[in-house]
Amino acid sequence: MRPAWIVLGVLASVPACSKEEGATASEGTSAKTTDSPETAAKQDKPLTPKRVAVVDAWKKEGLTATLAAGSGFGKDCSTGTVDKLEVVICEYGNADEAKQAEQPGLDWVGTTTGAAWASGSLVIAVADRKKSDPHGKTINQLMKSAPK
Amino acid sequence: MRKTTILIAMLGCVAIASADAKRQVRYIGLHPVAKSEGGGICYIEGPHVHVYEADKLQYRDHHGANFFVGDPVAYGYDGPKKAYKGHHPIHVEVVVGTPEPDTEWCYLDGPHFHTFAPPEGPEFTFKGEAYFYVAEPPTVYLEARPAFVGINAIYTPLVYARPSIVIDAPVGWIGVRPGFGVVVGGPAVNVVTPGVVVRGPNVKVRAGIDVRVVVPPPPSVRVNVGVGIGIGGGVKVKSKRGRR
Repeated sequence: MRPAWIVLGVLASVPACSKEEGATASEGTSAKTTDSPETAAKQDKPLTPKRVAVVDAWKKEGLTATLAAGSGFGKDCSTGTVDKLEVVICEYGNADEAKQAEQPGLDWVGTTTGAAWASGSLVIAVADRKKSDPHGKTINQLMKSAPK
Repeated sequence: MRKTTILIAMLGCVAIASADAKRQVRYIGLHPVAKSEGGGICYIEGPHVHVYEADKLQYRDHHGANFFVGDPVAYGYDGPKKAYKGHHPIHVEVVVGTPEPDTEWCYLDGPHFHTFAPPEGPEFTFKGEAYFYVAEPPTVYLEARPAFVGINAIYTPLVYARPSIVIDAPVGWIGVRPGFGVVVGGPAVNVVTPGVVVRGPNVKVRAGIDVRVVVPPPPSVRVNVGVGIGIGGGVKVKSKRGRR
């Protein structure tokens, strides 16, 4: 009987061993919220001129960028993909606020290859969750071509 | 039975914990990709994160991010590159474009590549398509040398196209400066081999064990050779038996 109790106890403690899992999983899916009426309305919202400028710069580089309003790591964000990379662009009141939001951007990246950087009042975050860019060439292109 | 059950349960927990041990590690600039992630080069120039660690010999801390100071060609880098010979400073802020000054040191012996050229100035002489550090090395370079010179043990066995530098090093090159000759870390083995003379100053020494290059007034360089020394291209070694 006692071994059975021990096994049960250990099994119960397994989630504690992997408590970080939940955090990263939610980070990873935050850009893919289900379409509630509110979210659907948000997605109809056109991109702001600053975000359009970023997307246009990527498209000029030959990258395939698809972005729509969505939830990221800030209050006013667009989410989507650039090639096979997940991307979030969040807009802040000024450059200082954006700089401070780099860390939440990295938190959104989670445990995968990625980057988050302030570009004026924007914070752009990219995550390679599908391991589609093993040498980082697309991420580098995306970082270098975004307006400074 | 009970002990076995506990052991199995603990191992399972440890396995899960290690799978979760993945954490973000910050990098800045180009660097090798971990073998576990497929190897090769990561070409991201700006600040970014991976979930693998950086070693302490090929990377330096640059404001919380790992900056690669090794030779990327050894890992398959095929982009623009600059040749260097011997130890030299790296002005990291110039390479990565950050405002805060950060000078780190490259302790790679002999010819090697980096992706960047040094800033213009008197510190370096460009000769024979390669950069040579010719300024007075600061104390910080000497103090950190024992900790970082082990990087050569990583590169010595790697087979790749190193730069071919066959010209004589310029006057003042760190590799032939009195007191600043190549000293590779490890237990000191001072085996004096009479009759081995390296005609300087174009000296290339690759070794995993202590090598001391003692430099009397130029142009002759006397070398006390330790165990396990490989002397590569561009070196003229003379012994009593003649040229090797």
